[in-house]
Amino acid sequence: MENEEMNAGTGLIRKSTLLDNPVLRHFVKKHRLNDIEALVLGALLELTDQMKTPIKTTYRAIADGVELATMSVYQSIESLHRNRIIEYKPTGDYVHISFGEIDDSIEEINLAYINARKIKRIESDILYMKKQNYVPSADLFDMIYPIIGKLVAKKIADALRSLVNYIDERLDDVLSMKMWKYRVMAFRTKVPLGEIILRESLPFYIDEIFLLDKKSSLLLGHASRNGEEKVDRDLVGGMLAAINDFIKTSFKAEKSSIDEIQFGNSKVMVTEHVYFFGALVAKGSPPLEFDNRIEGVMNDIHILYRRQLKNFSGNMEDVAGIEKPLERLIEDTNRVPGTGANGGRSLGKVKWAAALLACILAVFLTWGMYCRVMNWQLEKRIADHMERSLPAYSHDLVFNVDGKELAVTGTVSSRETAEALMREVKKFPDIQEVDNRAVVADYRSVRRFRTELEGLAEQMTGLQLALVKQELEKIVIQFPTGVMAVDNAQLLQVRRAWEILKQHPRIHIDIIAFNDPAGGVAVNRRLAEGRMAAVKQSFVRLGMSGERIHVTDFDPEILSADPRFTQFRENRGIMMFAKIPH
Amino acid sequence: MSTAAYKFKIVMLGDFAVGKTSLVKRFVYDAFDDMYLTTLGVKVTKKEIHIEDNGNRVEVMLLLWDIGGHGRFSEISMNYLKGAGGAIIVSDLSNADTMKHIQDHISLFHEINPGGKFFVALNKADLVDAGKSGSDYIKKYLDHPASCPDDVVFLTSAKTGNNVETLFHTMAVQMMREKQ
Repeated sequence: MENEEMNAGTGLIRKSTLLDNPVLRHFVKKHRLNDIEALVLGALLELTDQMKTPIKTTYRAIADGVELATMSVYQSIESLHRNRIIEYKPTGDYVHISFGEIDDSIEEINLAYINARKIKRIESDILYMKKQNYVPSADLFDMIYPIIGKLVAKKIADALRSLVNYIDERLDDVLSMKMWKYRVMAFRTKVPLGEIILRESLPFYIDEIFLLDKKSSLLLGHASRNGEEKVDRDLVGGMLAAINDFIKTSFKAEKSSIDEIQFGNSKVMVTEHVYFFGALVAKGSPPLEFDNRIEGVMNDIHILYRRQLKNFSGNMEDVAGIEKPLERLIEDTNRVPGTGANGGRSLGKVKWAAALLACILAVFLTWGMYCRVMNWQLEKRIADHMERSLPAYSHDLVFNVDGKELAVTGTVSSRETAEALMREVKKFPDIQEVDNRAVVADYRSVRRFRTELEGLAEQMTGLQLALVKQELEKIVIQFPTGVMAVDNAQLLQVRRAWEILKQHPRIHIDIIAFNDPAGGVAVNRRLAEGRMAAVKQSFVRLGMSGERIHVTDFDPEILSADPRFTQFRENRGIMMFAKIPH
Repeated sequence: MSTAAYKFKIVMLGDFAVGKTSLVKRFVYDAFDDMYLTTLGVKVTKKEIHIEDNGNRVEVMLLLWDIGGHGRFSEISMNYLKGAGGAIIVSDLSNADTMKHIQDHISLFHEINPGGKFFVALNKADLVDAGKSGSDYIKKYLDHPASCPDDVVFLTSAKTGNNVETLFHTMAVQMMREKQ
């Protein structure tokens, strides 16, 4: 029974919810009324003329109206009262029901008012438009904008957002490599950097390229992006040529051919060359230097096939392979940076390789440093141990650890000390190989030998000096009268002396000038000093250090008293005397 | 793209309604291959044929430019003649005026393509008496019949197909031999 009642009731409820009653829907939603309560409320709204008029009725009457049990109606009314939707007062068999003031703001009703106002405005605008035969576009725009303006703005914003995301993705792939290229391009072409980036980032595809003989309009070569053509390309090429001729002739174009034909998102870009012209079918905006690229490809074709194309006979073997540069151009242009293209792929590989190499280097360096530290620690431990273990003042040793190998250099005072050294080394299990180069030497003997050796060295040096002196004194650099400059004759002597001196880098020389008395002391002094300076300069030019050459003062009295100059009294020149400075 | 060894542009010349288009359609089985731009006044059709050349089978592509018009040549139409390897000048055997204009078409073609090969198709042969030969008609209607030797004149019928294949085939062979 209850179920039947329920089924009957819900049938009515469904009917009731289909009623266009926003108040009912509002209360049902707000108070989460069940179906029976909603049905009863809907019935009460009808009975009270949408809450305007209080009623006096019976539960039975309401129940009969909604085809529900009286008890269900009673319970529903109780519930509605508890939810403060209705006021009810039972009096005997009757019940007084009324609706109070509703404090709620019913959203649907508010929206309805708003829409009504809009509609009213639009209606008046439409009426106005109907009355006008012609509405100026500005006024029309003002009328329509409130309605569609927001929609258009939203669509544009969505499209721009997509574009920005697309560009960001493209830039992420190429930014690090190509940004500098774009900067250079912007500097060179004076085009704003942002525009260049945008143009380079926006998609641009070549769908097809036609190469047509200028004279006969025959298709010489063709390449396409995906190879799916529904119409024969020879015919298409012929028609392109016909269109080109038509435009040229009909409109007396100043240029010899059309540049571009736009259709939808695509365009046909026509480029004319000496014996042929190319027609590119492309989508999007070409990058900044695309014209140069095209020109380059056309030039290459011209160079390769100039002879054949000059008087093209129709023999296709003459132009075999002409489509290869076109295919390459399509492939290069249609490559999307960063998505499987060579640039992006190789950059990624480089990054990985660099990272791997860095890791390997880091590992090696770390390992190397670790080993070095370990070796140093072991060296220190060994040295400390030997200091403690070997007799004092019996050794002067250096330990070098390289992994498991120990090299020992230096001296030990006796064979026993050397044997003790080896025994102590074996106490270090880390050392598996020993290269013992320590020399057994008596320190006193060593000291004595060293002293004797030093003495011998001094004697040798003295002997060398004497020999060099003797040789140098044989070399006299003579000058003509009144001449200070070093000429070939003097230079020859300088070279002879230098050959001796460069064998003995420790030996210095005093250069002394001598003159004949003619001319007077002042003149002779000037000449002597000039000649000495010139000779010194010559030695320096040959590579001798200037610090090894000592110019002496010109003193004619000393010279005349010195027997070494006796034979040169009537001459002018320079003599050199070797010495070893202290 | 076609794999033909040779490509030739052949223009169809002749007065209005002499059967140029009909001849092309008859010759070209695949009618979908033609593209017609009435505004531009030209219809381009393609046909690939095989011809024997010294025992070798050579593939030749013929691009047939059917230039429409109204009997007078415009500057646009004359542009379409440029670079043509050959021309087929069509006339209507049943229309004497079209026969008289053959000479004009020959002269125009040679003016734009000196040395170009031409053939004359005396079309609608099915409408006239079969007793006469092509040279008879040439001698009758042309002022300079010598400019139109016998070997370039064909009596054709686009309706019956008579001599149509032969005409185009012969033209292709002649053009190929000339280019070699």
